[in-house]
Amino acid sequence: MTDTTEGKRVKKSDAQKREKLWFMISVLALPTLGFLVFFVYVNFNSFLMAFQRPVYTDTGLVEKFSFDNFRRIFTAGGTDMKELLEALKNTMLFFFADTAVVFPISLLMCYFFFKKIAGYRFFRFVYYMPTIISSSVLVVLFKYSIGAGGILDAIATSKGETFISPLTQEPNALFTILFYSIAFGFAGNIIVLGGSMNGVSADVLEAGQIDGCNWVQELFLLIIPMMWPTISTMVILKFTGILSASGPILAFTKGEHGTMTLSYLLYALVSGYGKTKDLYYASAVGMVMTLFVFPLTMLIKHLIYSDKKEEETAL
Amino acid sequence: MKTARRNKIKKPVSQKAVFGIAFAIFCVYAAFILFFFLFAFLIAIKENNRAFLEDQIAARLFSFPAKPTLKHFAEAFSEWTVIDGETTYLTMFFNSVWISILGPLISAFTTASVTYVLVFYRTGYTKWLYKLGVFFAILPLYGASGAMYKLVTDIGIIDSPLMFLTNISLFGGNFFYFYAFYKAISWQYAEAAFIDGANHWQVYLKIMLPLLIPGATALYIMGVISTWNDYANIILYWQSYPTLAYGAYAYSEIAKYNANNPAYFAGVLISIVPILLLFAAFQNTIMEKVHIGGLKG
Repeated sequence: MTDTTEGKRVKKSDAQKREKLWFMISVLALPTLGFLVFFVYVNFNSFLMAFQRPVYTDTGLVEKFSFDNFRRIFTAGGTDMKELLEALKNTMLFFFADTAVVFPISLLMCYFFFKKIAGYRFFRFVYYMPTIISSSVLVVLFKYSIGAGGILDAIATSKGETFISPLTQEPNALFTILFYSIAFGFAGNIIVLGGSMNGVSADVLEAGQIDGCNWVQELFLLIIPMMWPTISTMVILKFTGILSASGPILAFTKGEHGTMTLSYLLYALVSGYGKTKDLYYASAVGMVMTLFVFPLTMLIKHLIYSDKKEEETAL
Repeated sequence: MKTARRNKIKKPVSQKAVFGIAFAIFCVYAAFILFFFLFAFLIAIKENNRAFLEDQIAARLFSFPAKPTLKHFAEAFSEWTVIDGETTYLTMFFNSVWISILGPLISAFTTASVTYVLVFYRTGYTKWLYKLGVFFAILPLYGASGAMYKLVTDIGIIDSPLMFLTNISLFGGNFFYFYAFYKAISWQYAEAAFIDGANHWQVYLKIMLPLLIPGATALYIMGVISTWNDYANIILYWQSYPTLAYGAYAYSEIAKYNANNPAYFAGVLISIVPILLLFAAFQNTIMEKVHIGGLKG
């Protein structure tokens, strides 16, 4: 009898094989059950709920098959469709801000940290603070500082103008949250990009410097290509979560004043914060979002990963 | 792999200029971030809420108060009780601590155990499980939160510590980090222990798991920080166990018109101290050990 453990063939007795099997079962049983219940069943039930509406009868709640959720979504000119389109537009704005603005700047920041710019440890600590502090706290500090009595109010007052909080009017509310998301969004990438950059071979960089590479060439021709597995993985994960892009809408506006995003819409429909709670409609919205983004994610994955082996290495 | 060494090649003037400009920009951005904490402190040391309101009307909230006081840092502990009339600041602190420690711990231990089996016990099933993990990592699924909420409500685990059961899953957070880290560990340690008579659980818990801990610590601390800061899930699933992050959100919502703002901001500042200390203590571990291809040991 032979068995493989870490790729090596070792003769094993039946008792040893049984012991090994029981160990594997004891480790994997509960997580497998958890996966089946909290992932497989939940997603399957989410699919079913998208085609159901709750009906409250004398005997309790009955779920009836219905296309009403999708009618709400696809009724042209309807309130729900308008809200969804607005949420989609805002979500794309947040995604663009994160991918096209925050991500490249984070990469540049990491480069200067990597090159040990003066005070880099202090900067790194301070820049990471927005991530280690709850957005409920940071949003409060930000809201008060730009709200009544804050800086913008002081500027408006000094000009003799009447101050109106930017968070209470369209489209300023959205732009304010976008600004917040960009201004405090760099930290999320610093750890992963910085860690990957630290793994770049010093010998290659030294060879580049001897050959006369300037800092731009060093970054774009040496470091980024060597970090490409990390960068490409981050990009595809960003596209996988493209419709999750959002700012801290709950703490800012609860989706009011033209700030609704798709992920907050789903949260609001489940929590009842800012919308009427409707788990069934939330499931239908989620299904439409999945169908919308699935081909896009697969296309991006195909474009970025040249072969399967590279994908597994990167992940 | 070697880390980059400080090079001894003389930097050209243009590069020095670029680094000088970058340093200036970094200083401005650091000042921008720190401003908000200074702003909170300036409010927290205002004499009372009346002084706060007077400064607000005069559009000078960020000015140094005429009569600064630190008494609100003591008042914060009782002030936050107004959120639901019974939960104290210390109770929220306690909830933050145990939820933030236990949730990521259960998740990390589960993922560590699963990835250990997937890496070192290669069978058809474990190979298939890994491929499934890769597939789900890039599968964009949205909108299951409604079904999850319904499930945990129906089976009665919502709003109870049993919610931790949802942390037990095959492909939990950091799955690929743990997988990559185990890949870098030699199986020979385990073989030596087997020869000495250890069983599989002993080998895992006493030999292999401790080898994972130095790298896993960074991910665990990040999990603790993330859970400590989470308030959206507390609203959904843990309403009877309000945390400080929830308190910071709820106070500003509930006590809009009768708030004691200096005490509120003092409480907000106190709430971030533990997590700042935790991060300061593990800064290097977190910043230098995590990268997306795994962990450096």
